[in-house]
Amino acid sequence: MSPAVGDSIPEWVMPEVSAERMRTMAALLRDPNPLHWDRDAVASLPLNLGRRTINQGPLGLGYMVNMLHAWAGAGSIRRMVTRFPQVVLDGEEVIARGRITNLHSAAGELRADCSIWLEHAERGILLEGEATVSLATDNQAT
Amino acid sequence: MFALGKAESDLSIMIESYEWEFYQPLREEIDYRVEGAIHSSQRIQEVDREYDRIQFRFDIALTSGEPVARSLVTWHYTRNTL
Repeated sequence: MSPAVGDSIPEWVMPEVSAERMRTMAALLRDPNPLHWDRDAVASLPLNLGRRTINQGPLGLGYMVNMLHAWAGAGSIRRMVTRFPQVVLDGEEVIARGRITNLHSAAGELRADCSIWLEHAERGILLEGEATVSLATDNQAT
Repeated sequence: MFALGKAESDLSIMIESYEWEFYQPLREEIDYRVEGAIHSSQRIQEVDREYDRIQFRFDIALTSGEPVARSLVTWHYTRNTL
């Protein structure tokens, strides 16, 4: 890997956000919010989202983590900030994308600051943030 | 966190942001010590809604005290909206 500022990170695609996985995640987290498993509760909100459940924030964030791990290795993330300007809905195809904005050395390793986001073809950017990843070659071992 | 922020209902939590910082990877089968506290709170009044913006800070460490990770979670607690 010989990274440069402006380089794009290889995208990571979630072809269909799964309502079933939201239900499983809600059970694992003991998350009481019915927006993650009750379509009628979502439809009752004044948000015009229809009868579709809303993905948990950490699941959408996880798609961007998957992108960073696939690119730089499983132990590579040093810092990550994620904001949630729009919700992610069940059944949607979403794509995690990113770009290198800065390269620097810290703690004896080469690090890349990246702009990252989760995108939907029609609704645009759903999640956005910044990440700092280590580009050390031994990240895959962690 | 629902109780601490006095959420009005199970529907009344909205995420603003998560910030994570990792000093070393978290690993399976390792015991960690987690401490948390409210970092800041603010009542926000907008034209069409009112909410409390509450930031929680969590520090994760090995049982020896060695820092492993830090997280800053910012949630909105809607008031009289949902």
